Amino acid sequence: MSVGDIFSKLLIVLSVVLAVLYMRYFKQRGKAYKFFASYLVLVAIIQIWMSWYATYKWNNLFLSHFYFIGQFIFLSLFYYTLLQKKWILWILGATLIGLTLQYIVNPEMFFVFNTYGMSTTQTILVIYALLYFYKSLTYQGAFLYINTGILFYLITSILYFASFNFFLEWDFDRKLEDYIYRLHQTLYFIFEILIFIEWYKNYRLPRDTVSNA
Amino acid sequence: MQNNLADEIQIIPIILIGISLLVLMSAAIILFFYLSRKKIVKTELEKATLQIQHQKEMLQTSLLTQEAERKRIAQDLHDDISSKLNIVSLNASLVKEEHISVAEANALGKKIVDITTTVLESSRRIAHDLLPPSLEKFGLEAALEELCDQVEATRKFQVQASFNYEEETLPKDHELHLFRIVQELLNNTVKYADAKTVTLSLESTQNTVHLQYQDDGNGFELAEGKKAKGLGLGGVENRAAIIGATMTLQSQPQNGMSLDLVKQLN
Repeated sequence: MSVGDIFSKLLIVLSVVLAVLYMRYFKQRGKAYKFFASYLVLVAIIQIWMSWYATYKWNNLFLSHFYFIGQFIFLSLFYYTLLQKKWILWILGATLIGLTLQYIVNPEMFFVFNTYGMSTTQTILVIYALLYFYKSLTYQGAFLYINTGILFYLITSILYFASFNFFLEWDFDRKLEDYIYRLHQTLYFIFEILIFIEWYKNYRLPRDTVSNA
Repeated sequence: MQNNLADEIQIIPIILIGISLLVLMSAAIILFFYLSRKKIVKTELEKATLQIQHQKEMLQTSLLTQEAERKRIAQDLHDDISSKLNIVSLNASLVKEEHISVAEANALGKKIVDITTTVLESSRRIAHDLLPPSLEKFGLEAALEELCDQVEATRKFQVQASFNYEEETLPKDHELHLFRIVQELLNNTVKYADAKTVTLSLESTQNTVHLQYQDDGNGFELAEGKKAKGLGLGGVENRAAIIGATMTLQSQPQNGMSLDLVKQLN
């Protein structure tokens, strides 16, 4: 097993660990926390599922749709709770309708990577993260580490996911492709670390340290 | 295959550069956020510290004023009530003595009645000073008129007063603060200004209450006056702040002083 493979496994283990950590004292926490914890659980499940399929060399690409749609739903609700803007729900609804139409019109889409869907939903989430930063400028906001992680990871991974089909279709030299893959993994690792710091600093104790979150 | 290879060579670095630029961009945004936040929090903190300091000063001035007032009341009670009641008590003890004649007893009784009348008068004056009954019974305008009459009676200076105040434009406690402000200003003029004329006006409109006070006395350097505000001007400033009025004080040595106080309604 190469160092790269070990790193990949470590990221999966970390995502499961984070989901478990955030599920502790789940009931005592606020709405925003619950939405984010649910997102982590979804990510952990999809990661395990994907690696299980990968072990048997089965096509696991369809799981990416559950990943980005689930991510969009949970993180939209997370930001709706933090920003308290009704239009976030409208955008969520409209985007979901748009995606459904996309899958109805083009059912084969399910078996390829949805670059447009992924890029659009990530861009919307990045805008929410920026708005939340703006809101937190003047007061001690909750979830600042998580927001930093979301902004950082989603911005940087937009291009990676946007060019994903391109990697699949073209027969590239694995070495060059690996660079981009490892770079993406490193960025995801930073995201996971920030999520961990948030948990460690604010949520490892049973008492809810942030009353409105 | 040749084409693929050529495209690959070009596209992969572009994607890598693109991702690197996005990393830089997001890092810049995050850094900008944290630095701005730090700056804003620092400014807010400075503002809050200044506010707290101002409140502390106000509290200190209030306490000093309160202490001075207590001292004055204690002095009044001691000078005008206790000492005279002592004499009453002494005379009353003398009346009780057996060998005293009827004439002497009558004289003592008359003395007791006289002193008691003075004591009653003094206690009425002290109570009046603490809370003028005219303010309660007839309103701010009447209380200020009475105050001006009292000051004029001392013949130290002339008071030109004009009032056009709609009663109960301000709440009762605010009216009392305004009354105290005028009382304090007149006190200062009596004590320090050596003025010939004081002009006082109080007006209320639909949106404002406007108090103007001016004397043609000695005046003072504003900086010094504020330094020595422990008892006088500090109290005035405090009361103006409590009722939410803006106060402009102007003075120069040998040029009198003037105070302009505007309270915006609603």
